[in-house]
Amino acid sequence: MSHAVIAIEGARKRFGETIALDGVSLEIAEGEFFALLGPSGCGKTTLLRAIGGFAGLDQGRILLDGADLGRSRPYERPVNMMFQSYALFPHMRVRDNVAYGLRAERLPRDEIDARVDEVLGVVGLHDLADRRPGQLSGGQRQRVALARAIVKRPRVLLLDEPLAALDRQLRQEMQIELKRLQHEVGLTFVVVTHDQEEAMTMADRIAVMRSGRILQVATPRDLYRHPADRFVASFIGTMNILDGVATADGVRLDPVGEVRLEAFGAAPGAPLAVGIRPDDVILLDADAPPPPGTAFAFPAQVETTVFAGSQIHTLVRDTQGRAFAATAGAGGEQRREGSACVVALPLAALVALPEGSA
Amino acid sequence: MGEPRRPLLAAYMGALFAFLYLPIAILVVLSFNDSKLATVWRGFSLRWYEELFRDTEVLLSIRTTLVIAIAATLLSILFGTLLAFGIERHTRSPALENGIYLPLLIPDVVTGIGLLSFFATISLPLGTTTVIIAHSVWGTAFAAAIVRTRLRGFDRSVEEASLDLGVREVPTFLRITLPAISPGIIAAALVVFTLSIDEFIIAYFTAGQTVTFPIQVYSMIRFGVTPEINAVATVMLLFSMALIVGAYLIARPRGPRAARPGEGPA
Ligand SMILES: Nc1ncnc2c1ncn2[C@@H]1O[C@H](COP(=O)(O)OP(=O)(O)OP(=O)(O)O)[C@@H](O)[C@H]1O
Ligand SMILES: [Mg+2]
Repeated sequence: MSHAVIAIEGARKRFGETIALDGVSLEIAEGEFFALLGPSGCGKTTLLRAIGGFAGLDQGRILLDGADLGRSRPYERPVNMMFQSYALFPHMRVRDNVAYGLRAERLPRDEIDARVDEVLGVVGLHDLADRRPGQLSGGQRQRVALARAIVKRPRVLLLDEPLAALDRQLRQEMQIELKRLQHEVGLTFVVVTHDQEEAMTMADRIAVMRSGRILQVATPRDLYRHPADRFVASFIGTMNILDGVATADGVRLDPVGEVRLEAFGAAPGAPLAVGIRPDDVILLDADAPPPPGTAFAFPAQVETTVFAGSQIHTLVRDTQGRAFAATAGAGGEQRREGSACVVALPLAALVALPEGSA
Repeated sequence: MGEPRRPLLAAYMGALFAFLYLPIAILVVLSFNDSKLATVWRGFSLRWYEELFRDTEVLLSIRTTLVIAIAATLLSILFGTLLAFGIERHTRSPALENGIYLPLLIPDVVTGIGLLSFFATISLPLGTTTVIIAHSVWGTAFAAAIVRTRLRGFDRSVEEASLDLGVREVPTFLRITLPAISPGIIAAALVVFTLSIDEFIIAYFTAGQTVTFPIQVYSMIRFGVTPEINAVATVMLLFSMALIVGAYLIARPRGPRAARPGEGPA
């Protein structure tokens, strides 16, 4: 990893009884698009606000380019935040909102004008520069908030649920747009979200949080392929999870059988789940032999099947009543509902899922 | 769309409006009456206005009242705004919260007596100063209540955004917070000013030898209603109407879709 712009070491924070941060350590690299992902109340905003200087930590420290930020005030940090509510200045025109932070730096007037114009161009707000926030749509306000923060050229840009207030269509557009923008301005982005799809679309790396802790930090691909535990597996995308028992060198699924599998230190006899993504599940005709490399194969019945354009989603249920989701490409065969089939789970696609610490 | 005519209802409406506005209309008309008797019309004249503006006692009392109103207004919005911030942001105590409204509910007579004995106890001589202090008591409560509503609708992350963009606390207050709550402060100022100008009871208790405008009018009335009183009342009426119009012009939203501070995104 290249040089860390932000390093968080053992951050702890509690509000009365609530533990918002429970020993968070992280490194965020220069130029990275980093996402903090987790369910509501897991401490994402608290962590972001600590980096921005709006709330102190009870324990731990935050380093920016290797220097401890300590208790410095927000205006002393070369870090800017885009607020979830956008927090635009309602009595100022768009142009003055964007220029506000540069005026605070007491830059020469023509430099301010040039930089404001440049940034307004980047976010496509030139024509609206003289409007007030009240006269803008949600998407336009979002872009003003973004422009106002990036015009300062911070070392790190913090974004708290930047797209949450937008409707679905616009949100998907803006995900791509944000990613493009980040490339264009070359800043380090730390974005908070509770939408896993959003994090997967935008981020270079994702930290999955739960109850004030970081469960896993990885690229979207690794997170999807190798989730560290059961929570991450079910939070990121869809995962079929089977409850099994750890053996000396693998996992046993009753009554289907036993396979060798990296079990990550689960003690033999302890419960150990295995997961498999729907697109790795193979459905065969009732009497077909399982292909080589199959770890488990067992009979099941097709419950529902949905043709979704590019994919076919099938839900099957085995004799024990366990449901499996299977996804095949549109070229695949669409099975009849109620028909019998065989579910084959390839060994290579199985991941062991410890219960996790949280 | 013609509604059926309802003569009875129309008559009632007329009577009600007459009840509300006729006395004032008569007063205004009589103030231009060229007669010493308040009840007999003898033609149009401005003599009572001339008399009024030559009446040094009346003029002096108006001056006193304006001084008191302006001072009480300034003190009230200063203390009231600070109090609103404290209550809204730095306490969760419901007792303190409701405590600020109490001066508005206590009967004026009680406040008057209380202040009178208080000033006597600390041996502060009665006069303009004591009336200013007295008016600031409920003025502060009023201002705090009004500013606080404004503050409550204000999104604090807007202040944080300003800090984040490199502006320190005090300039942030002046550039961001104050403009957002200023309609509340202006409204509070107008209310306190208007109430102070015609406040009689508390002023009567705390003014000592000082004569405020309402006290002056009261003492004139005791010698019978002269047309000069009508002129005084008419001037007063014009003045308060002007204040109301002014308040409306300041407080009205600018432009059809003007942003209000605190208005969040949908
Ligand atoms: N100022 C505060 N006072 C008391 N509790 C707080 C405060 N701020 C946060 N908390 C609590 O700390 C925990 C973490 O809050 P935080 O806002 O960081 O969550 P989050 O991950 O951002 O959630 P969301 O996705 O809902 O925004 C929550 O349980 C919250 O109730
Ligand atoms: Mg949050």
